[in-house]
Amino acid sequence: MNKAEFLNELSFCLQNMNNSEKNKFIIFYDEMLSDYVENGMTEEDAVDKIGDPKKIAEELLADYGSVKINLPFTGIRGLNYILTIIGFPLWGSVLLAFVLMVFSVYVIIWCVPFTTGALSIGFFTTSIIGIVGSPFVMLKNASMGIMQLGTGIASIGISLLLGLATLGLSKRLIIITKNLNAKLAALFKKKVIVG
Amino acid sequence: MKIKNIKRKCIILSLILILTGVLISIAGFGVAGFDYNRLKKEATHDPWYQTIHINSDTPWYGVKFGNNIHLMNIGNAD
Repeated sequence: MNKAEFLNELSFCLQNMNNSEKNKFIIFYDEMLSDYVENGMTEEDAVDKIGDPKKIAEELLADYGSVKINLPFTGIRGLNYILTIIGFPLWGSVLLAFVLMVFSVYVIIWCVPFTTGALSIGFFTTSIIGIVGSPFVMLKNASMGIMQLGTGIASIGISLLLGLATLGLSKRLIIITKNLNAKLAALFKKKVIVG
Repeated sequence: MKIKNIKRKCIILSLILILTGVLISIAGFGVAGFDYNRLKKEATHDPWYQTIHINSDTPWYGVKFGNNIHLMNIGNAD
């Protein structure tokens, strides 16, 4: 195989890659072969030294984000669909378990800001009732009324702190959730090359 | 920069409120002579707008709207 044939075959095998990426690799191997020829090797020897273009393409595509999967294929499209439907209890349960696992991860991580938010609202409502009600309590029991006023004021401070914590945690968790979503989406965006 | 300043001010404000509240509460307890039994005896009246309750010797903080209907419950409400 000479240089032109090697580059043509490599280009053909990399057809799933976008043109700019593909051209980068073609230029790279073109230069590499030229260097070998300049050093006194024949084109055929240089191509032998680099290796099989199909294997090189497979490695490049694997790094590029494509996956090679040996999909079971019966040769009849209809039969494939039937087998997929029959196999649903198997792959469906695995898919359901995966979806539920992802959902539970989201629920767990969002539990923390939900709890702090609920506590913040609870403390704030109680403090308002406590402060407004304290004069009426004071009329019957002065010490209890003053204590209620104090706990009411302290509760406003606690609710403010919890509110700030909720905002801070929510902002961070939104970023974490977006990253997690992107990673999960990337799992399904990979190209599949039937082997 | 501005948001950070607001955050810092909010944290300082909340800490001041907590400290003030604690001091007022201690003062209230002082009115009862720092005597828990006296406070307990005086806390027989338990309207819905009261947030400090003493039920069966244990104090709890929260709002009691009715039987087993509580908004916030810190402590033993039983």
